[in-house]
This record gives sequence, structure tokens and C-alpha cells, in this order.
Amino acid sequence: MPTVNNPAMLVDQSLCVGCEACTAVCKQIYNTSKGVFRTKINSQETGEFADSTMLYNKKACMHCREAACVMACPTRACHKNDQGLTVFDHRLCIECNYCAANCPFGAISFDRGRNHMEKCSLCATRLAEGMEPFCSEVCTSRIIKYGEREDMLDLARNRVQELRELGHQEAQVYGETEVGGLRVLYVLQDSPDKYGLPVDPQISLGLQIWRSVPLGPAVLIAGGFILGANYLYSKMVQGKLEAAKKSAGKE
Amino acid sequence: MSKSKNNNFEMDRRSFLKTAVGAGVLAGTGFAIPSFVRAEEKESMVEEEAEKMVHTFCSVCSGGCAMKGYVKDGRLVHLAGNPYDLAGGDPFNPEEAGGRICVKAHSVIQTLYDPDRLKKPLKRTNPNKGRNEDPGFVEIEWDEAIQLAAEGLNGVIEQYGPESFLVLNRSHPYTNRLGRAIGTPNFVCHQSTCFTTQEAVWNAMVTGGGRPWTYDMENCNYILSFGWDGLGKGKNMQVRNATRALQNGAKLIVLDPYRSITASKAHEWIPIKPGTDLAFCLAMIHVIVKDGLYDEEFVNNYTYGFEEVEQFAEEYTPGWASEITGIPAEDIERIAREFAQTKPAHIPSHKRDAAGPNYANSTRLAQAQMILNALVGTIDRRGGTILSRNPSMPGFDSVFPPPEYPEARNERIDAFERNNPFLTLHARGNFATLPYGILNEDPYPLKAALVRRYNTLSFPDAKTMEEAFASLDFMVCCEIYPSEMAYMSDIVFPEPHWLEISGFSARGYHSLYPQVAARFPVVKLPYETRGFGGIIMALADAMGYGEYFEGVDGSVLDEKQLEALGTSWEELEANNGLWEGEREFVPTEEFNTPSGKIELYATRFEEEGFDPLPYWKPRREEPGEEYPYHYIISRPAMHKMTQTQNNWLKMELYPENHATMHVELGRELGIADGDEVYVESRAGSIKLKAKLIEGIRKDTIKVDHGFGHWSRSQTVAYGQGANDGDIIPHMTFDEQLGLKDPGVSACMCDFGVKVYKA
Repeated sequence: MPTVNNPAMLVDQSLCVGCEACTAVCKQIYNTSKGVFRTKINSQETGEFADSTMLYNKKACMHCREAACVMACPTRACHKNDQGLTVFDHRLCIECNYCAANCPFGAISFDRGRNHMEKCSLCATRLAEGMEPFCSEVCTSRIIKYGEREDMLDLARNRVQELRELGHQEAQVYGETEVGGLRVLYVLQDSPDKYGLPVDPQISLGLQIWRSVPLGPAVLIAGGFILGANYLYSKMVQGKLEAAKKSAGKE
Repeated sequence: MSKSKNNNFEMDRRSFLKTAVGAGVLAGTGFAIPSFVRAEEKESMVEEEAEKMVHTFCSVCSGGCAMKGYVKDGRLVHLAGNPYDLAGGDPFNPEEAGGRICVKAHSVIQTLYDPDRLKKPLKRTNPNKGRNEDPGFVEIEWDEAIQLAAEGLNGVIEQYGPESFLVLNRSHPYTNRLGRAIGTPNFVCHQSTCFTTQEAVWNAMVTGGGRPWTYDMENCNYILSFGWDGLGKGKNMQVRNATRALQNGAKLIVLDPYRSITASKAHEWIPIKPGTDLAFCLAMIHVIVKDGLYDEEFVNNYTYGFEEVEQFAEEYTPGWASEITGIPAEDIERIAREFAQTKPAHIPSHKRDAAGPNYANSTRLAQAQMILNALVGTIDRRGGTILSRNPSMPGFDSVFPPPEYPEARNERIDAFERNNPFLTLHARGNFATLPYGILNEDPYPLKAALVRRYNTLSFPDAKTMEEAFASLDFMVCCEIYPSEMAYMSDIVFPEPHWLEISGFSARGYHSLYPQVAARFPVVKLPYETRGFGGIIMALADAMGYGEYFEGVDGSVLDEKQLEALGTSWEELEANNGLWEGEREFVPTEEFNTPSGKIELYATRFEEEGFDPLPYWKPRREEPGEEYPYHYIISRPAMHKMTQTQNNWLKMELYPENHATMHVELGRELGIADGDEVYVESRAGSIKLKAKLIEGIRKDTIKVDHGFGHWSRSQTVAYGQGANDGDIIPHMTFDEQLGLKDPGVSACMCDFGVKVYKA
């Protein structure tokens, strides 16, 4: 598969059977701790008795174009890569959790067991190599697709049309324009709230104000100061230790 | 955010390496490295990072999807589907082949590396057996284990006779031979709890043998399900085929007391009254025959007994069925018409759906479904169920002919031989009557057992079956983990996991085009395990039956079978782990029945004293005053029966089962979601959490199978949920034979339950 310029993933939630094959493979590959998932199937019942149904949706990072997590991150550990995907540089992350707290989709979690933030990167490393994300590669119902965003949008619109013809009046594409447009698009057979999705996801006002103040560099300077102090302190302790060893050796 | 800002913080692999090396140097001089430093997602490049890729096929279920195992640093890190496997793809369009596996297969890695696995033979030191008894296992050497097992089994056989010895496993040529050498008739398997109702019908009406497992849903335009939950079981071939059918615009109708996942995806979900599906099908036959809506060409050319069906169906009007099923007559009539007029249409039936051995009338339901599928011409035709086209290979007995076996008694401990000739005696059995036979010593005492892999939780009335096992003088078990069956045993032999061994299989579920998948050892764990064939041969030798295995060599059998296919291990390995036959689908014209046609009127049933046509018969036990609710059982996609609950990944995805009931029933009984409740039948009670939903009948309780493990050595599974089987009544011989059921239904759901807050 050639590298995609404007990538997007399409998940046809109307045909998701909730088998969690994607969840299992993702969890194995990225080795997240118990209870921590990069992707997970969320199920929600709607309607009454004979008219009820179970709605499944694959809950993971939506790779918002205007990404609250990227805006919230004080160290730019959480950033946009060349392909416009939201990814972490764990070397810069200070686990402050601001990204998770600000994500409108609740798609970022802190992996306490491994001491870092976890979220779906859309398998960015694989994509950069021209490969597919694992979840689209393993989906048994073949409803997770990956490719150019425009192609994915076309597929999504066609499927929504089909669903409407089948009587799902609320069927819709989710993610075309939400928060500047998402790189993960959903086909929903019912309204987003039925799936537990925000109908109009927003970046909080507080975060927008925070971003307008150049606090990032200040945090970096403070961090640098702490690391420097740590270095000097280690040196000092090591010097003393060696001196003590020497004197002990002499005796 | 602007891109240039971003770039300041981007690093390629080389600069990262530099940083990492630098960090290492700094660390050496006392500079602390943050713990979160790691190569960004290098782990996701498994195909490139792996040191080797090994072909294998899955044995979680009988499907046998071909897979590729990626090994890194000596460890299996990822399993992927084999893209050349035709099974998971469109069976009529080989260009669009397979290459995917299900959640059960992906997560099998955690079973392979389960720290609780058996690593060495075990000897029991506590003579008391039961749910609350610690077996006091001690690890022993193989030679001693084989010797002790042989002495224990021989002791029983000498005292009580050869028939006191039970072989309890899925039919296997090695144990079949050992059992016959000893002279026991007791080879008991599980299928009366699984699919014998459907198998007997296929045998009598179509195949003269077993039943097929391949469904061409993709080319079907009208899928009518009676409890069939292909989408809910997660299996690649069924999920893919059925979702593709839906994408193609096929109509899906589901009749099920519980809104299964398939029902959630259906155009119409009809919550039919449990155990009444037969009435619905009979009325469909009535409408289709009366109005002449059947496929004349298929019926005239390929079926026998249409006139008898016409006459038989006369009384089963939609109005009659409406009273029994609770479904309006108009709906029954409409669905019958849609089914007959949308081509191709099919009723798929796979194991434990409504036509599985759940009710006393389940075999008749399977019969009625076969008639309906024949009336619309989708038996071994596009859009229907496809007969097996497996290549023929020489069997164990033809390569290594056995010496003459001693005479054995005819009567079995599960009375299975008294049923009928529609189910193979050595490969089938009845779990429902086994506890009765053992505990009542009917027709004789049975005091020793050799078990492979079955779990005590799989039995109807599992607690009574535990009593039966505890009453045995000696029990030997071959397993890979310390199951409940191992906990009842005196000697436990550890087997390797199937990812550690080689072999090949024609694979039961995927036989449209003959294809054989091979497996090579993906990894080998440092445990003292032995292959099953080797264990049985060593045991036979120690027991004094060595002559029956003289010259037997598994690798010679493999060679002979590969020779018959015209291939070799080397060729299999070079050819993506697969062998393939002709890719041509020739629909069957002549069927293996007395008339050579699909026998709508089953003459072979008639000859054996069963009803040749599926006359209406109600279920055995309607819910009543004391036990007012229906009881149904399902299985989650992530789990395989009782075998996967010690797998931490599967358990993270699905950790326990529930007593699932309608929100209104919960309200009536004062039960809230998550409350602990008892579900009780005349056989016993189980305690588990309640789950309240909209998608189930108000008179029905659903419990998922596989949970309630009590072996304390299964540290993940222990104590999670409850066993659905604890409350399924077992049967006396008279009860079972009294059903006059050629499909020997174990009646897994044919009783009422009550539910109350714990």
C-alpha cells in the first residue's frame, strides 16, 4: 500500500459486531497494562424490547485536526506528525494528564503500570512504512478501512445513504467537520448520543486561553532547571561517595 | 499549530538512537534517565522486527483458520491470518481469499504463555475428590507417571472387567485403539450437548454420514435465523460472510428469545417463545406448499417425499402456529412468502442454535429446517449450506492395521448404543446420561477413566457429574492447564499447546474447495510435555497392550497422508503452509440416501422407528408455577466454551457471566443491575450477578456458558461467574430413550427456572 497523503480511518459502526478482535490485537502489540486500552469496543443499548438494538462503536483517538490534547500539552510530547496524526513522544511527556483531561472523546488514558500516557496513534509507525493499522488489518467484518480521507468520506456517505434507505433516519457520517474534522470517521446508524459520543465536541474555553499564553517554554525552562539540578546533585553525591570509598580503602 | 514549531521536536530514528546512546552514557556517570524513554512504537512493526514467521492453523474451534505466527526474541508476539486461506474469503471468488482470524485466535497467545499451564506430570496425594478438595498434586517424572497410571487403570480393569474403563475425549484413533484393545464399549464424547440433533437429520435426509459446517451466506439474499448467532460468535468465516451479505443488501430475519448480536444487526428481530420454533417452521412449510411457492426444479429433481410433505403440512396453519409461538399469523405467513420468493434464501443452523440439542423437539426442528431449505433449493447450492469436499487421506487403521480386538460388551455406560444408528458409536456419546450410568452402576460398575481435555463444567448437571467422577477409583487426565477435570484426576499428563507442535488438517468448517493447512512448531516452551499419541502409546505399553501399537509411528502416518495428497512437508512449507485441490464447485446431484435424493420424508428414520416427518411435538418441560421462566444459554465471542477463562486477555474483554433478564422482570422481582441473584432449577442453583437489558423476553433468563471455574490452580478463571451447566438436569436412561429422539438431544434448555435476589 502506498503511503497515504491525507489519511483517515473509516469505521462502519452499523456493521461492527463487537467481537473485540481489534482490541485484542492492539493490546497485544502495544502491551498496555490491565484496564488500559488504546482502542476498545463500547456497547450501548437503545430502544425498547423488540425495537431495541445494541449499538457498538470502536472507541479510540479520533485524531482531531484541532486537537485539544496537542493544545493542552505543555511539553509538546503530544503532537501532530507529518501525516497529521496525533502521536506522543514519550521522551518529552511528563505525565501531567492535561491531554487526557481535555480530550472530548475520553480516548487518552494514563497507564499507571507502565508510567506513561496511552492512546491510539493509528499505528503511525506502520503507516509511515506504507502499512495498514492493525485494527483495519484484523477486523473480521471488514468494516474498518484506511486510506485517503476523501475516499473514506465517499464510502461513508454511500453507506449512510444505504442505511437511510433501510429506515435508519438518523444515520450519519461522524467526523467530517467535528473539531475541525476528524481523521477517524464513523458511519453511525443512529444519532451520536445513542453511541455515547459527544454530539458537538468542543475544545474548552479555558484550554483555548491557556494556549494563547506562551507557557510551554517556561515549563521547558523549569524542567531543564530541575534536570540540571539533578545532574549537579548526582555529581556531588557521587564525589562524596568516591571520597568516602577512598578513605575507607585507605583504612 | 504551525508545522515549523512541531518540527523542532521531531526526531528520526537515527537521532533518537543518538539520544538513547547519549542517555546511556549519561546514566553511566550518574545522570538519571527518565523511565519513560522507549523506542516509539517500534513494537508495531512485528512483521519486520520478527526473527521468523511460522505457518500454523488455529485449533481454538474446529474451524482451523490458517495463520502466520511471528516470533521475536524467541517469543510468539503476533498471530495473523494466512491470506492464501480460502476459508475466510469468498468461497465462490477465490481471488478474494481469506487472511483474517477471530478474537479467539488472536488472544490464544496468552493461553500459550499462561503461567498456570501444566509443566510436568502430576500425582494426586489427597485421596478425597471434589470441588472443595485440594488434590495435593506433586510433580513426578514421566516414567513414574506412566507406570502409576498403568497400574491404577489395570487394577480397576482386573477387579471390575474391561467395561469399567471409560475413554472420555473427542474421538481419537489412539484412544479408540487402546480402548478396544482393553475391550471396553465406553467411548463417550460430548456431541449430544452440541449438535447431534442436526447431525442425525443430515445423516438420514442428505449425507448418510456427518453434517457440513460451511455456509455460503455471502451469496444468500434472505437469511432466516432460528437462534443462529453467526455474527455474535466472532468467527471470521461467518462474520465476514454474513456482514458481506448485509452489505450486498441481503435481508436478515432473526427469531430468538434473546436479542443476540446477529439479532441486533437484523432487519427484523422476533422474540419467539423458547422451544416453539418448530411450530413456526411447520407453518412456513404449510404456506409454501399450499401456495406452490417452492423451487419446482429442485424439488422435482433432487428431493424425495414431496407428496407426503404436502399432506403432512395441511394441519399446520399460520393460525395454529401463532397460538403456540405468540407470533401473529400474518407475520408467519409473510416470512414464509419472503423466504420462498427471495432467491436464494436459507436457514443456517450451527450447533447450539434453536435446532441444537436444547429441547425435546430440536431434532424435529432440524428436520423441518432441512425441508424448508430443500423447498427453496439451497442445500449444496449457492447461498446455502455446502457439503464437505475434503480430500480423502488414508486413516490410522488402514496404515497400521490393528491386531484382532477382544470381544467387548455392547451396553454402554451412557446407553448411547440403545439410541439409533444415525450417530457414530465410537465418535459420539451422551453427557446427559453419563452421571446416571456411573452413579447407579447401570448396567455395571464403571470405575476408571482416561480423559482428554473435557471439563467437568461442560456436563449437564455438572455437580452430579463431579460426584460421578469422585466415585471412580482411578482417573487419568491429559491437559495443558490445571482444569477442573485435572483436579478430579489421580494422574495428570501435560500436553504441549498446539502452537508448539506440527501437523496438518483438512479442517471441518471450510471445505468448499479442498484445502489442507499445515502447522509447524511456532515456539517450544521449556516444559516437560509430551504429545498425546506418545502418551497413549507409552501407557498402552505399560498396561500390556503394546502389541496394538507395534510399528505405529505418527510421522509415517503423516507421510502416507501427504503422499495421498501428492505433497510433502517441504512443499507445504514452501506453499504458504497450504495444499489445495481443484477450485471448482460442482453442485451435488446425487445424495447418500436410499433414494439418492434429499429425503424430505426420511425413510431411514421410519425404518428405525422414528417419525419420518417432523410432526409437532412440544418441548419436554414448560416453565410452570414453581419454575416460571425459560432458561437459555449463549456464548461470548471472545471465549471458547470452558477452555479460555484462564486467559487474562480474554478475561479482560469478558470477565464473567450474568443472569441476563429484562429490565421489567428485574423491577418486578426487586432486582437491580449488578445485584447478586440465584438462578434455580429442579437440578440446583447458581449464584451470579444480574444484568438487566431491554433485548430479551420478559419470561426468559439467559446465562453465558464457560464460567464458574473452581480449580484454584487456574488463578485467573477461579471464582469468576457461575456455571450454566450446574442447573441443567441430567437424564436417566428411561428419560432419554422415552424422548424417542434420533438426535439424542441432551435437552440443555428444556426446563424452567426461577430467579431471586441473593
